[in-house]
Amino acid sequence: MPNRSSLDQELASLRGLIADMANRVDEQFAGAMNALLQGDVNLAEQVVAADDAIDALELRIDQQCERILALHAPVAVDLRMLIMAVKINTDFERIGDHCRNLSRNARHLADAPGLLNQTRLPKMADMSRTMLREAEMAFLENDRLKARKVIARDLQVNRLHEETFETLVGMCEDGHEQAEVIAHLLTVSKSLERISDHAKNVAQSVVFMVEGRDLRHRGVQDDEDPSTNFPSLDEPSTGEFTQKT
Amino acid sequence: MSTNEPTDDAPPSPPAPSPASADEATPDARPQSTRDDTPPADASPSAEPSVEPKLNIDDLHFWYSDNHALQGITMDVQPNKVTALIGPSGCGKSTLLRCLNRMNELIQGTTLEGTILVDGQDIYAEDTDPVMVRRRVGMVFQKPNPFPKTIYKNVAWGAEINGYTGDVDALVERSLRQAALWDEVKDQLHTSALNLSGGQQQRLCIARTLAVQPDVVLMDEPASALDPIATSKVEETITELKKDYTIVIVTHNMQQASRISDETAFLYMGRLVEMNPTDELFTRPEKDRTEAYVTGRFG
Repeated sequence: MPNRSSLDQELASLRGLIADMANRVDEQFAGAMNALLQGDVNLAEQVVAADDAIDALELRIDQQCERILALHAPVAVDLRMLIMAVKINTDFERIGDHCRNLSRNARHLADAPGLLNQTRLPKMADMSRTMLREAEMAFLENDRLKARKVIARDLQVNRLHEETFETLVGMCEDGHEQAEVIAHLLTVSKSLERISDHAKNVAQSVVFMVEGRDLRHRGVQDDEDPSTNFPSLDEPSTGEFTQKT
Repeated sequence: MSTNEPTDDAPPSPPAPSPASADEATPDARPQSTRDDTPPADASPSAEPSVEPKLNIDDLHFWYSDNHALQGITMDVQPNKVTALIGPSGCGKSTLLRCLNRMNELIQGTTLEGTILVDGQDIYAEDTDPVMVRRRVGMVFQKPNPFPKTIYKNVAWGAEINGYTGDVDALVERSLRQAALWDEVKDQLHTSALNLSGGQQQRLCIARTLAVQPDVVLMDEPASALDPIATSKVEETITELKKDYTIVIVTHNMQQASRISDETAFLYMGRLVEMNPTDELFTRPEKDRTEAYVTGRFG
């Protein structure tokens, strides 16, 4: 039988660490996108430098998960919380890596400041950041419906990525003189698409924790449940990055 | 309904149980409130349709005098599986276990309603001999209770008193091997069983139970008095035994239940709240009350 008060303290501490991680990653994302949009190389370097702190936090969260698993042998919702924590910890750290990669493109994009705004990348960044923030809120509030909205939104980011890809390839085919910048924009698009994937993963983990239902890889699961249909999208994204354009 | 009076036909094996402990007697016969997670009429998990349950328990009620200790338990126990009964003290899990081989009727003033079938046979039918029931449904107790005799005599005793005419040496060896004790005691079979360690004594008691060739083995917290290494050996033994026997185990140790059982039944205040495959019950319990219990939020 778990020592409930001790386990509750450990779990609260873990949640606090994950919330800290989510906040830091969110700030990194904002910094990375602003660096790209404004061609701010100094800001980009700050984002790259701050990634070490996120890596360190990932290790600390994993240690806390290991400690709870070893000392408390949690079951049921507590066990699902631990499984979720390990997974979303990795997702947040990977988002941090993508933010670092995004920032490394800033110097190259500074050579063609208007090109980025001719693409759907600012819109992609808006939607990805909305997904990240909503996934974080879903985690903090144990809100499975909010999590499911995040999951649904990923399809839109994927479509924007495909659209951006076609636009950029078209520019190259038309003999655009900034081919190198276009190549960097392709990596930016891919990073944004991957960030939204990780935000979706976080949301899926939240649903797993709350409902005990695994939403991943539905095609290969044999217990397809019609109740897992996603709600329609009716909430706009923040528009933070598109407003700046 | 059958009211049990004191009886003289004490079973040959295992020894008579101690009277119901205080913590098993539910202080109030009825729950104080209607729970939102009242179990369905049959909370048993869906079983393979081709496999007949070893035990059918249907609407089982049990009273210690006015104390309504079991209140309509309906569940099936599958053959060659380990079924764990869990729940807080006083929930009725040991009472239920002892109903399965008519041990409770040795206690004065108890009353039982409902049916328990073993392989389709009503063990409480008027023409059913309780001694035969206890031979088919053996029991291992919380504390190792070997007789103050040799290891060999401990194992052979039950079979011999039941008129076993086969090769007793072979029976003793087979039973000790099944209980995973043979290699440790084969050179000291004729020394006192009381010289064995606690874990060895408990496995000897398991061997003694197996020697009368039961179909079902009931275990009431068989490892609670043992250290972790002895516990591990008893658990390994239980896992081995399910190839040949159906096992029902009462345990307060949730991790033990999750380690060794195939199905787990959670009882609360004399009712079966949930019975499900163990991996489901400990990861995605259906009932809020089950989740609260297995995560330590109450009980």
